[in-house]
Amino acid sequence: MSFQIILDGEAHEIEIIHRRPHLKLLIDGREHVVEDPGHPGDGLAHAVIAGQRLSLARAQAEGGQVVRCDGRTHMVTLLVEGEEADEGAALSDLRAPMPGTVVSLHAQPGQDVTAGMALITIESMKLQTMLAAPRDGVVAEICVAEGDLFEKDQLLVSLQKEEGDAGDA
Amino acid sequence: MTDTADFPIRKILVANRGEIACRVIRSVRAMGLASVAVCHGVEVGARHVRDADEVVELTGDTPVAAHLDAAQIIDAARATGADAIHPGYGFLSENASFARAVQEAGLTFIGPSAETIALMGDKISSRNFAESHGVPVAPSVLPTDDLDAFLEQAATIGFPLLIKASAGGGGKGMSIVRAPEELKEAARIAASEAERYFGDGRVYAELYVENPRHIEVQVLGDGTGNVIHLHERECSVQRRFQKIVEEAPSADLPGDLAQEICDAGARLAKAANYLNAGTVEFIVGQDGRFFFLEMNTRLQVEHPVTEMITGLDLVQAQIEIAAGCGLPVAQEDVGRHGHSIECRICAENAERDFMPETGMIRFLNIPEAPWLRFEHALDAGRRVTSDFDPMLAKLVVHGATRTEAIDRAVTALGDLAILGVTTNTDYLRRILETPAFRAGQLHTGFLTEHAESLKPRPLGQLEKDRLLIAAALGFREFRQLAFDVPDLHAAIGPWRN
Repeated sequence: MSFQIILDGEAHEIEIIHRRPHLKLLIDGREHVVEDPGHPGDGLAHAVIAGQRLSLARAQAEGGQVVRCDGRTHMVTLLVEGEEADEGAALSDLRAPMPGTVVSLHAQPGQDVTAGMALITIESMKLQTMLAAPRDGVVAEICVAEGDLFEKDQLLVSLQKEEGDAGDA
Repeated sequence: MTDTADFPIRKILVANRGEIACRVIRSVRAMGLASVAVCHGVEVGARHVRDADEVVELTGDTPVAAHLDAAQIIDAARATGADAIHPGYGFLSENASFARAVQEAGLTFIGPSAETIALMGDKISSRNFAESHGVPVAPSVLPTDDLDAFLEQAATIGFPLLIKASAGGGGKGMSIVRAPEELKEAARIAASEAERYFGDGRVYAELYVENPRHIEVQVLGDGTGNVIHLHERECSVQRRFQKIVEEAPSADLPGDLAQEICDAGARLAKAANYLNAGTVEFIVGQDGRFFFLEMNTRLQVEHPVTEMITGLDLVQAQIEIAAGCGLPVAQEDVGRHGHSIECRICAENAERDFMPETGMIRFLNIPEAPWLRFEHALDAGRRVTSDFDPMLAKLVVHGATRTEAIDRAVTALGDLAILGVTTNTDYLRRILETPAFRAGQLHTGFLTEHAESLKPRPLGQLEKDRLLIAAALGFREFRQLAFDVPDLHAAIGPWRN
């Protein structure tokens, strides 16, 4: 049985080899034993994994799970069979990282842009921030106008889908 | 504690919210006085509301507008029988007309006089006042609406040049100009931001001190010329011109320079017949020259580090001064023990240019230790929204030495968990672990200079695998397949968290 786990935006394969006497897993092809899986559920937990005791805190959150371990916080998503990470869409869409207002637009539909190029200036919490093109491409649509209010995750600018595989960007 | 029978203040309305409202209410309660909280509808049930004896709900187009509504807040104080208002920081704390309106309503404003707030709230009048009392100021251009005249004068000072909104604060409308050809555009942006945020488009420019340190002096005054300073604080670690790590005393300022700066701060406050708590801010060049920056006529966010080294309760001191009890201690009796560091925990993404973040707090773990103060108003299950400032909490530690304080802060930041909203907790920990921070090599460009080494260290292979497994074990779907006996599973139903 195999799963895909996205850790901080990076996909990994995780496979259950056997359950007893201890859970044995393959992570991207590397074998590890879970000596003590600890308690499930949100909050503080301990687990013994691959010979080391881990202290962690976890909570289910929008879009997956937040795990804090060794003083670092990570965002994790589990993809069950049939689901696939829509990396193409993620790279073609410029979404609002925060609610705010549009201060100015720096690109037009049909314009060639390069990764990192400023597309739009927004204002959130009294701070102006420039949002940049996530990759090289052509602007497909500007979904907002100057002065518009927007919510978090609202689509602001989309780029034309790449020919063929979107994943090579 | 306070003898409440003779004390002229019995009930205090705290015109603020979040951690600072909780902080003020704590001292009010410890003094045996009653407290009134104010909140907007989105804050009903929030921690500062629960901590207070009474609450008045404010209305407003936005939650911030409600907290800025002076008339409504004064009405709330009258309606609840409060005899004094503590403004905290931000919101109305440095609004001279609010301070005046509070007095005119027959209430006590716990802070300086409206005249002092007005004097110090204007960059130009405060600067002129400082200069006329022998407090050094940096060469500058006076503010004007005439952009061309401004540009001409600014160019004569030389570069780099710091451009600010005349009415501003908190880094809004501020920029550094390094070359003459950048001046015009920078001035235009500053004027536009100044107009937008402060309704006053005048801009101001002064010589920019390269890699300066931010050193500030906590003062207390009784309003009749008696002033004490409670030593200096160092607030050099800043992002977007806003402090995120503060300490007391300064990291390694030569003792005589620290004394000179504290004396200058106290001299300025004395000249102003300063009443209540205030902070005189300076920038200190690498050559040891220091210049007056501004005076904040209120309690500062970072006041706890001063409390940690002096053993004084600044909010109690503010209330006692407002009640006419005078200064809490003579200058020669102001203590100075060990070292304290404060880290501002903000809902922001340090890896995405400190973009503010929102989200539901799903889990909260607050470390506890005798040397630790965690100032906050957080609750698991409450949403962090963009309605207010992204600062969520302050983690404040004390140690016998600076090194011990750093080690303790690193431990506490590691144990702190605020899950469900992205915070700068891990970033703060990396700052404290930076060798240059430990060595006290601080300046306001510290975070930019060390940007590379402040990035998260890549996880090792085994470390990452363990983390992936730990994460997988937190998903119900995964645990079912890894552990559940299907029959039993069918009988007891899915995992419940």
